[in-house]
Amino acid sequence: MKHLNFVLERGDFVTLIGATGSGKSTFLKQFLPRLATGKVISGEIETELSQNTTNFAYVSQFVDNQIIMETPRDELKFVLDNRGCSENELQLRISEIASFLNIVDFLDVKVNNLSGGQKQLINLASALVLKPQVLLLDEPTAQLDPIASEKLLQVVHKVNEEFSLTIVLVEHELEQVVKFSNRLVVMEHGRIILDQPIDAGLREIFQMNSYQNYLTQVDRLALELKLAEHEALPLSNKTLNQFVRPVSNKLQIRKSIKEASNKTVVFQADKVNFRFDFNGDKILNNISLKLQAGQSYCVVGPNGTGKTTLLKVLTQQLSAQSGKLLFEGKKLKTEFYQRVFVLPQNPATLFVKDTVREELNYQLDIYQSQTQLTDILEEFSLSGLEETNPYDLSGGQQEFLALALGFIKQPKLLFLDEPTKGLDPNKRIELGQKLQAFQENGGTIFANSHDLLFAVNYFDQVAMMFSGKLSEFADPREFFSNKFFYTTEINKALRDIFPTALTWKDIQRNES
Amino acid sequence: MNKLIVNFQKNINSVTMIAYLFNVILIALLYNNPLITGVVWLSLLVMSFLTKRDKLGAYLKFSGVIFLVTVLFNLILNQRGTTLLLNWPWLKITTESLGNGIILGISFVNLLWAFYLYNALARTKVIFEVLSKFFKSIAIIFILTIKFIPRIVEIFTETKNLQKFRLGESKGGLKQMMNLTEIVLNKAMGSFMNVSDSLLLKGYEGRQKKLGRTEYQRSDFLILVLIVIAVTFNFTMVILKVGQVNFGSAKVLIPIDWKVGIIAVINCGLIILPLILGGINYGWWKFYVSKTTASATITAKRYR
Repeated sequence: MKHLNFVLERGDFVTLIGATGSGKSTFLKQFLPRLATGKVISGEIETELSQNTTNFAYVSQFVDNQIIMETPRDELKFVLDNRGCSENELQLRISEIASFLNIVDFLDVKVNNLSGGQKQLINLASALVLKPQVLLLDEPTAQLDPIASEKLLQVVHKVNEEFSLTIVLVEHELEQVVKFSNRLVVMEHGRIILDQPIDAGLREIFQMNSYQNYLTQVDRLALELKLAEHEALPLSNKTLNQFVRPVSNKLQIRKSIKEASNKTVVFQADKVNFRFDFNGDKILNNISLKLQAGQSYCVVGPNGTGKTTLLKVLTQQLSAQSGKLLFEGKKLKTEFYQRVFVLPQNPATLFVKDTVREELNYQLDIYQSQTQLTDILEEFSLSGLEETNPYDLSGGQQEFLALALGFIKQPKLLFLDEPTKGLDPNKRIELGQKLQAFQENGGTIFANSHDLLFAVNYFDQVAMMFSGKLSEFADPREFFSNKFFYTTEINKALRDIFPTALTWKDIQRNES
Repeated sequence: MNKLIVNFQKNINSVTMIAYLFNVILIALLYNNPLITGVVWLSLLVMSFLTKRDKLGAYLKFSGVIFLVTVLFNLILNQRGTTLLLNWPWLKITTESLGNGIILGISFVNLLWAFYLYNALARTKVIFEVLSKFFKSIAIIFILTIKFIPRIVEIFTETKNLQKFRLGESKGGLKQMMNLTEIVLNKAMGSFMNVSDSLLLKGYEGRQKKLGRTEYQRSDFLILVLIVIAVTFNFTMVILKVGQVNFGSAKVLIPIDWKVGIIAVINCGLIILPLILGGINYGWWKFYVSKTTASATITAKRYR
């Protein structure tokens, strides 16, 4: 961090964004010196509060690692026991926080049986049970699906509104959080380059090429079409609709041209079934699909609906209880492992070496690739990180290193599990472009994601997974324009005017 | 989990549960009379089946392998006895050595099942508190271990599966397995580090209360007294050498009399104590409470 000046006022809800590695988390940890790494060379923090965990509560993105005990009740008791609370106080505080956060029903449920969203709510409860003055949130929704994220952020909004609790929230996107914040801060290379009230902040980042992709789809469209000159941002879907309707005759929908394909089937699944327990629910229930060469497929759906299980069964990381899997018409044998690459949800699982250089060289050696290391580093934005340990890379950099390893292998079929998890909007675009380039060279892609915008922008076919069943694959435009609740924000806002519009790019001013 | 066991679990505090589990482990350890170990084995199996069914199959396989290995090792190491069953130049199997092997195998398996039950019923918080009272650092290691052994297994499986796609081959030798273990342990360290931050945030470093207060009810006192009597009884029996078989001698005598029968019945009762007490509570609710005080409620109607 360099020459950083920042004032935090009681009741603020500050959203802090910035590219990975810009120093957001380091900055956040300065509020709690015990968590901070490194050394303060100059400057100081002035606060009337003592900088401890009683005044400053902290919740990180690592949903599982923050919970120590077996059940939420034990977790809360553990925190309060550590403070030496009496039995009566302990009981009262747990009752209060459980009722407030609506977690009474799962207070005694084992943590392993809770969803990611519920676990993060418990982490929030553990932080709030100490009655802090400031809540520090470090990408708390990074591992959650949009629905769980929104629920969590609504709770954060509630504590901010009802108790004037000060919030500092680090996020990699603004889509969900922007409507709750009153202040926007942008960090770049360890400096604060923008610190504005939310409306002015959003208008300013619209002018900054590196950050305009952070804007929500609704705000971006309004700003692009110059519709919200006198209305405070962020806009709701309803307000956007009100702005667009009077000028709809001056707007047109962008035509998308998709080539009809009738290519060979590269991978096939036929009536695949899978469940974890003898009498458990079928996680995969008679799933059948065909992947054609050179096409990209995305399975969407909320967390916990079996998308990752589907991918693991298709790639034989889990064995199906029944059904048939064929790669190029044959059963999956050694050739399948040679010509397919899997990019897991946590890319670090693939790494085996101590530096980025070693990792890439190892892969180049295995596949006797003629590609130069420097070219790969350049292509995947890893230049300058050659000697870095792969585990010390940011989420986006890890994703790109894993993708580089995959592309060195030159696979025919690429499986990706939640590829955009934890990536900022710019990295998502970069990733999408790389996948498109892979596809143009004849590669086939199968991914699962809860990121609807990513699915719309970069995939040919989309299907939805729910309760063990997979819908039929369809063109994203056709697929999402038929949906009412599970669709993009632009579609929700403008479906009555432009039924097939899914992203801000789909609506343009008439050229005439 | 069976509803009677759930009822037992809900009506006692965690210290009583630990005492019950400690007693079960003790029972599995103390006796080597075939009748007692057999009854104990059956009781443990019934309890395990009713408590945690999801991993029962895998654990049965595992305990079966352990049983076989124990029996085979004993047959090789202990070739004493007079009643010859098989005589090879390098191996002599007698009724006594076979009996010894089987009994030791069952005893070992009993211990494994006692821990299966412990795993299903014990609460981390209590053990942690007891440990943190005396050995603060060991308590942290305990938490990390129980939290991260499943995580390490998960990382291992995932890494092993993904390496096939990275290296383009599905085979794995011993060397690859060793490399993989090293990689997995490196990966696991990252997770350990995150937890140390969590412990700091939750104030463990300045922990003020060393033992969480536990509320005792009448049922807790009743069970704790019962367990104290049971432990005293079992130790007395062991000191008196009742229920013990001396497998060290060449001529093995296996006494099966009324004393052994009583020990077997008592210990069986102590292992299935949750079922008995849960059953009593259920009967009391079904035939008394639901017909009197709570007679109009939906819950009571359901029980009738």
